[in-house]
Amino acid sequence: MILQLAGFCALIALLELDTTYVGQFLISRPLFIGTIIGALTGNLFLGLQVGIFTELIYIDYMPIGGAIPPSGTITAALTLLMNYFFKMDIYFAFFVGIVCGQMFAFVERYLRNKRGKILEHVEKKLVDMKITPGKVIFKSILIEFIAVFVFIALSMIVFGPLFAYLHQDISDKVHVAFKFAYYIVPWVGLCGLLLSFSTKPKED
Amino acid sequence: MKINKVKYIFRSLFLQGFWNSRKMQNVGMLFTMYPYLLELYSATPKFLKRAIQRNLETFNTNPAMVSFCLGAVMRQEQVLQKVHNNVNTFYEQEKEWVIIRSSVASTVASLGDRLFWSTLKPLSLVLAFTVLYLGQVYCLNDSVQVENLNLMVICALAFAFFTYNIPVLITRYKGFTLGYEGTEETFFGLTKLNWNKIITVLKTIGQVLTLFVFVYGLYFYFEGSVIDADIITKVILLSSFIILSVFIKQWDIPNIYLYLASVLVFNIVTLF
Repeated sequence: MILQLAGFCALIALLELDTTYVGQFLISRPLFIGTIIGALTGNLFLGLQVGIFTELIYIDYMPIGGAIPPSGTITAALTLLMNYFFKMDIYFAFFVGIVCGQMFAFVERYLRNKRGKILEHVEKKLVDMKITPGKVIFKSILIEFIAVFVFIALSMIVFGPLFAYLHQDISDKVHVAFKFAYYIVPWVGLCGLLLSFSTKPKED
Repeated sequence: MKINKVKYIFRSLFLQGFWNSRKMQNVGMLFTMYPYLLELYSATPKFLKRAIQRNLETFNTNPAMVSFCLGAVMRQEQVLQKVHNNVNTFYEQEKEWVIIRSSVASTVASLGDRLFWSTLKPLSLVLAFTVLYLGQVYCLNDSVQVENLNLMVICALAFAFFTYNIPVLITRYKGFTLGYEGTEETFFGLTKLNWNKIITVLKTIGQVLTLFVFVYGLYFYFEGSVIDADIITKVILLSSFIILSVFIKQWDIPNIYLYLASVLVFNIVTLF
C-alpha cells in the first residue's frame, strides 16, 4: 500500500508541474488528473466525475498575473486517493480535497516568496556566469516536485486515518448533508461556466 | 543569424520554471533566451553580462503567447549587438529594448489571459462535456451504464486536449515569426489578427454549448422522477443554489464559497 501510495504521489507531483512550471499543456487539469487516477484505481467514471466537478467548482479562478488559485490538481487527486485508499465516501473525500487544494495555495505562495528572497543571490550568480539559468530552473522544478509529493503524502497520512477514526461516529444526517452539497457542485459550476463566457464587459 | 525557432519555443515551455514573487518569470525568460545571447555576444563577454542583466529584469506575460515577446526581443537584441560600439546609440536602443519588451509582454498577457485562460480553457471543458453527453455518459448522475465508456472518455479528453493545445502551439509558432519580423506599426504582428472577434466568437460558442449541457443535464437528472415531496425539495434547493450562484457573481465571490456554505447549511438543516 505504501509503495502504491508513493507511486501515486510521484505521478501527481510530476503531472502537477504542468500547472505552472513546465509546458502548461493542461494535462494537470482536474479533468485529466481525475480520469487518469480513476482509470488507475479501477473506477474511471468516478474519476471523470470528480475531475469535472473539480473543474466546475474552480471555474472562476484564473492564474492571471501573480494570482495563486487553489489547486484543482491536488483537489481531484486527493479526493480520489482518499476514496481509494481509505474508502472515504466520495462526498467527504471531495470536501477534504477542496480543503487541501486551498491549503496548497499557501504552500505555493510560500515557495514563490522563498524564490523571491533568494532571487538577488541567484541573479548575481547568473550575471557572473557561475551558474546557468537551466540549473536554476531544474532545481526549482525539483523542489516543486518534492513539495507536491510531500504535501500529498502528508495529507493522506493525516486525513485518511482521521476519517477512519471518526467514520463510525458520523451520523447519517451528516452523510446526507455532504452528499447533497456534493451534488449541488456541478449545477453551481455550470452557472459559473455560463457566466464565464459572458461577452459583456464588467461594470466597476 | 539563423534562429532555430523550435529550440526557443521548446525552451519557452519552461518560462515559469522559476516563478518568483519579485520579478515573476525573469529567470525563465533568461533561460529561454540564453543560447541566443551566448551566440550573439560570443565575441564580447562584457556585453554578454550586460545582456544577461538586462534580461533578468521583471517579466510577466501569458506563457502561451510569450513567443511574440521572444521574437520582438531577439530582433532588438540583434540591433543592440550591431550598435554596441556606439555608446549613445546603444543606450538609446537599450531604452527601446525595455519599451518593446514591457509593452509587448503586457499586451500579450492581457490577450492571452482573455483568449486562453478565460475562453479556450472553459470551452475545451464544455466540449468534453458535450462529447460525453452525445455518447450518453451523464457524469452528473450517480451511476453509469454505458457500454463504450472508455472510448467516449478518450474521445472527450482528446477533444479537450486538442481544442486547447492546437491553438496554443500555432500561437507559439506563428507568434515567434510575427514578433521577429513585425514592426512597431503592426505592433510586432499582434494587429494582424482581430483578437476581439475571435474571443467573442469562441465565447458565444461556449455559451451555446454550456446551455445545451445545462438543459440536457437537468433533463437526465430528473428523467423518470415521480413528483413527490422529495423531488420537490430537490428542485427547490437546486433552483435556490443556481439563483444564488448567479447572484453572488455580482460581488465576484467564487463558487467554492457557495459549496462550503452549502455544506454548512445542509449540516445545520439536517441536524435540527
